[in-house]
Amino acid sequence: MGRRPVGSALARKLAPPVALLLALLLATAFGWAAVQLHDLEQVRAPWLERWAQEHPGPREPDAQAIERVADDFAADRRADLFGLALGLAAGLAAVAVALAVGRREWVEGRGAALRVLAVGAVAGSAAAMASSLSEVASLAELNRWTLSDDSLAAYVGPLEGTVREWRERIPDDHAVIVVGTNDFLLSRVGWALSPRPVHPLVMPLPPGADLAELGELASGLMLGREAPGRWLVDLDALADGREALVRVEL
Amino acid sequence: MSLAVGFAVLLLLAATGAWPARRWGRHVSGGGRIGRLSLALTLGAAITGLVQLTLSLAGVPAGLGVMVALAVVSLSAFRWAPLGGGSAAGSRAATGAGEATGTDVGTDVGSDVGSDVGTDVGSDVGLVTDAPTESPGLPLTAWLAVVVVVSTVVAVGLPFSGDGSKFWAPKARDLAHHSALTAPSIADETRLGFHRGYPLLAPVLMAPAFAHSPADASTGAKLVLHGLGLALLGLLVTLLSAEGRHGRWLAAAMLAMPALVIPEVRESLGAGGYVDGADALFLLLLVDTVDRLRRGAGRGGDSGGSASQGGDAVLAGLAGAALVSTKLEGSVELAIVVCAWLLAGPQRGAPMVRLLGLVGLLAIPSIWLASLAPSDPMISDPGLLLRGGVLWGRAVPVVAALGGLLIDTSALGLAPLAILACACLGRPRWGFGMLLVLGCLAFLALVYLSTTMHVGRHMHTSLHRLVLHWLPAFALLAARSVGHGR
Repeated sequence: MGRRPVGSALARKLAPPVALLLALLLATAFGWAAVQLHDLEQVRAPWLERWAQEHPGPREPDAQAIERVADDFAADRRADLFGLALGLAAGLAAVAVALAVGRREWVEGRGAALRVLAVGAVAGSAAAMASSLSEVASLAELNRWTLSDDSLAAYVGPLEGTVREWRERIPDDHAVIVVGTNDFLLSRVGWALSPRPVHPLVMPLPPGADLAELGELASGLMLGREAPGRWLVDLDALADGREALVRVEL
Repeated sequence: MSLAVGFAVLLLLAATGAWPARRWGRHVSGGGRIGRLSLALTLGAAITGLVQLTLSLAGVPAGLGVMVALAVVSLSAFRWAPLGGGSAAGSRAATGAGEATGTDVGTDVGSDVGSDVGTDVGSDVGLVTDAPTESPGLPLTAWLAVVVVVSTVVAVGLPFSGDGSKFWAPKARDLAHHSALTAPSIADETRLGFHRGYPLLAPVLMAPAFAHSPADASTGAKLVLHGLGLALLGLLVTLLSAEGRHGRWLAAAMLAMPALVIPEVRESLGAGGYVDGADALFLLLLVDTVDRLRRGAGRGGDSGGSASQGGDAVLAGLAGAALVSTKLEGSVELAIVVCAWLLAGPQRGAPMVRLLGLVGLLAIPSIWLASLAPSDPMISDPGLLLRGGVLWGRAVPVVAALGGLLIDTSALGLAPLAILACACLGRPRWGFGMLLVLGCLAFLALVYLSTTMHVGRHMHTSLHRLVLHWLPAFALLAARSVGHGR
């Protein structure tokens, strides 16, 4: 048989009131920590951020992008520590309840730590489920969550009207050249315009590029020439809410 | 409509896997309906996917016809290819053992000695004759049901997003009408498409749902993909329950991973329509069967043991080939499992050769298709591993992120800590499981040390998912290390 964990041996030696008191104390401490963490937005790790600044990689993005990554990690760190404190508080509270009702086996048997963690995990998951279902309800009101056969709104959000109008204008066998660097919009437009052949042209455009001029420039491209007609979508214009579709003359 | 098609596809997959699951997976299918259904779905997905990929090389698009044909063959096999006396005996023993030892998560707090003996005896029998195992029990089954319902609600109604909308779903939609050789998003470099050389098993499984759904419907395809995630949960609960009360507690902690129920795409296993759940499923089955092959082989064995080993070898081969055909990381994960087996033993000879031969044979279509696809931009540059300054600069954030996984509660809950706590109940020592952990950590470290992206951004977007591939397998090995005192 395996070794008996230190925690279980300790628990076995403790008198029930002491074990109960200890469990309550720890549950309260972790609960307090969870409350403190809940009110924070981030938990930063300054030494890690300083290290990253002092050791730039071979292809570093701009400072803003690096700051965004650090912010993301800091927010994740807060969420992780909050979840840890909440889970341990819940698990230890369960132990305290078990001791209070005379279920000493909760701390006596092998695997007391595993049981505390499992109960804490279930409590944390219950909180995550409640939050998820609430978010799903909100998304459903916005048509971003649906079980229906028309999920276009969920895919393209506020662009739904624009995309539906484009579908009316562009025949199924015409090619569409999509210009820009917005990865998110590119895949959304590609998805929404299927089965039309979509040809990406990933390149930055000068701010406020004229759509008609882009259409004329695109007429010299080989992309989509096999199709009976060609169209161009400017992703930057689409993101800005400007007219973004133009016919490319052959 | 789309949901109904997705449900029909899942039924066909389960039907396709029904006979193979009963024939070769008695250690799982003997553990109750959850285990039977999960294993049938797993094997059905592996077999159907591999067949569809093979047919794709002949220019055949992925469709319902092939699925129906495979399901009919499997169901017919129950009539013309009986499962054999050993199987029936095994099943009877399984049922009896399950009934005799089944306990609930909430009530399995018997004496240490009693439960340890019970676990070990049950497990030893299971080593050779396939007798299972304990049923999950009512509380764990109820908890599984809650997780299944909530995760399905969250995952199926959300659209594909992130990599799901970027390439997994578009490829599936293309494969509904084209073979993998002609699908525009894969074969035509001028058309919109990403990661054209990525394995296609998950897309070919989703393709029929797209083929028979309205143009803007995607719930059916998401249901199919999510079904593989649910099979992962069912299989995991069944396998962990077989290891006794510690296994059941660990199963409860694993089911509580927020990644299963949150709609946030980056950390979720189901919301965005990524295929990491399928990868984790096949990796779990591979590790389970390889571990059984190791243990069974080490004990010599009677005829039941030999039959069991044959079944395990087939399951391991199918799981390995499906793993390689699901994600790029699958090939590395297979290599890690084989290397760990090679180093830890015992019995590295014939079973390992059989496994590698079967995987090599079944994965030919995937390897072939990957070799034909236009090359992708590299996200990894091994040359960076030779630059001391880069390595030193990246080592600290990479080690910090890998260490931080232990308390990554927003995605993994307390599962990593629970796995650790469970492993510490046994006698941790160098062996198969420890080598797998080391292999996984080494692989992750190499990926991020050699990335061509910003290391922080790369880890932030992918680390959770890559770790999720391994966690179920680690949980199983941790529970087994307690159950068997290894």
